[in-house]
Amino acid sequence: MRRLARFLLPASLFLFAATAFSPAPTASAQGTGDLGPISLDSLTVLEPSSVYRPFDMLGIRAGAHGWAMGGAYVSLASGIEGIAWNPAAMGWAERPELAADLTWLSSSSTSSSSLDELVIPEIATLRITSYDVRLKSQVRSGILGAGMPLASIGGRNLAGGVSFRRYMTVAYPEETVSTLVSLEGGFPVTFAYDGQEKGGIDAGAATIAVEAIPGVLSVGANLNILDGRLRTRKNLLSAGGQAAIVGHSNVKFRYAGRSVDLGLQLRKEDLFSVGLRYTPGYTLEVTGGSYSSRFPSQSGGEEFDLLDVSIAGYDLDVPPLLSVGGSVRPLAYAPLSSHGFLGSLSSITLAFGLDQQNWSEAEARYRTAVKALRGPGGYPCFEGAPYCTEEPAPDPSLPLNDVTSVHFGAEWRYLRIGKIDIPLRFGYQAGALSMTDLPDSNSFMARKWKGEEIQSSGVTMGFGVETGSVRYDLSYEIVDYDLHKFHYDTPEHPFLNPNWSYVDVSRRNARLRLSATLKL
Amino acid sequence: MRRLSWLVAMVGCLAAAGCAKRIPAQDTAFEATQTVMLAFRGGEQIEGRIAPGRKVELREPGIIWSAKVKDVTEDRIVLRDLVKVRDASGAAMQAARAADLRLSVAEQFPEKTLLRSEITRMEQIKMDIGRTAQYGSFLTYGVAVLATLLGDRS
Repeated sequence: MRRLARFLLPASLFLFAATAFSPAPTASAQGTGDLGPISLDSLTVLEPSSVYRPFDMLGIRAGAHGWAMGGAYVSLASGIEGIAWNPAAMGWAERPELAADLTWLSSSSTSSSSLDELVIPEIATLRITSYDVRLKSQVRSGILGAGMPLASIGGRNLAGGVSFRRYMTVAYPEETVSTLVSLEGGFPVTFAYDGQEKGGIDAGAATIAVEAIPGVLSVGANLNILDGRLRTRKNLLSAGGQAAIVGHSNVKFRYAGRSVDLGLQLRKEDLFSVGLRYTPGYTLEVTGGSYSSRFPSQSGGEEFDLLDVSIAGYDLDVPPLLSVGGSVRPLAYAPLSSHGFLGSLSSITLAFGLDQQNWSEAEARYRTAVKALRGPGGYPCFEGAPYCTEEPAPDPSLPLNDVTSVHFGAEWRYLRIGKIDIPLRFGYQAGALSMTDLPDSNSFMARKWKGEEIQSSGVTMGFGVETGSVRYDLSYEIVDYDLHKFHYDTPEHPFLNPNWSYVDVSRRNARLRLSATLKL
Repeated sequence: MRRLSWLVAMVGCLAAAGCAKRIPAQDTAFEATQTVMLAFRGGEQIEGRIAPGRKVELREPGIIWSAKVKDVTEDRIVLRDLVKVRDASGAAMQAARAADLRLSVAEQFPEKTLLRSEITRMEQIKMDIGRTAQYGSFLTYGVAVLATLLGDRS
């Protein structure tokens, strides 16, 4: 009994304080009223992590062959598996092909917080013994596609394909886990935000490509119909003995649009190749946004504060994307033995790539006029509530950053078991994420959302298993970057984050990707 | 239950991926348990298990028949219940059927006798385990990717 009481003391103190000061709208004690569709600015204040997330068209490209080579694949992509990198890849298809691809994402991180204690005024002080913000493990779909040669026109191969593939990542599920102990003694209690996210922007695509100069030049295009949704749910959990969900918040969005990818590949008898992929800018319609939360009421008891609002829809002008790359087999004509280790050196392929997408130029416009109701602290408030002022909401400004990334890769065909070829691949990549880091607190308060760029770098490795009809490619990628997070994802909170404190997070993401290609 | 559904999906994929390979035989002797392809001097081909009551496919130049084996003796193979399933003008035949549903589904011919002395070539049809494994593994993985795609959108 004494043991139970020692646990319950800090747990109940913490939960009372956390929920009593939950970042709900200022006049939401009764949980009623009309907020209207809230602006993206209001959502940023309510839940920064739902806005500070990548819009990533590059890291999601399907194909373990390419990722094992560090992403330097725009010139080497071939067949239906390669259309996410370069639609011209389809032009080389000599047989009907099917492709499937999945990614397993895992992450680890180290977090250092400037906040050592949480002070609940006049109640207790809780010491933070551990605090971590990490990306959650996820399985992400890549591509499911089929393609085939359609016709031969004057010796030129015309090929086409259809596919369904993940086109842009918008999910970024995180979990915040902290352990606290009361200075007055007692067992530690775990307090966590558990983010669960589903969805992304998918493309149903038709691909057409032609071998303009047989064996030398291929040009192609993907016509993409974009459709997607994002559903996030963030559970507030306490654990110490038995875990309990104390409250939760949900964010939803729907996405729709159309885009075209154009591609070109130039090859010279496997000696060298050059590739280019260009996706002109397009408009993404972001609609169906909603935010809801359910947290225990600060008035205590069994009551809850409920908030259920829509988020103003907007059109996002996605900037153009350019990928260029090349490859070379430096020892292709070296006077080496045709067999064994020395002979295999002639198969070494070196590749490089450069990707560019200026996300800072992405412009967003609300689809309808939005009024911003703001109370103290900038939180959205109900119309007519004390200190609630109305301002016209400016068009949204997303915290996005220009992406320039470089990629290097190598492939070596040395291993062969029976009739199975096992090419080995290695790579390196470096570049900025499309989302910016959090700005300093003064900028955040002034609604200047863009912070510093987040630079990432990583190594990749993998291999293929090439049998007669089926080819499997496996890649393993490790990417590191540093970023900042608000304490408990709350910019300003009297108890959880009283001083606009940031957490320094060093994150390491690992991606295991498996692609399969079947040639009929 | 989830594991069971995956197992069923995998078995289904393997079944769908079943690939056959043809092995030319040294002579023209066959057994009732073997799946074979027999080619005759007149251009006919029979494919299937040549045993009484078994369903086989008979190919003649320009026409494919479905039939049952009525009798197998030392010198002849007798087929019964021949049903024309396709001919050289297959598209025209299907269009005619679709246009008038009162037409019989297929023309039927009672019997056909083939002489074993006319057999020019025999191939044993066996399951290609390597190829089936390759196709089956791909299809199983494809189903997993499809399930993930649909699950992510549900």
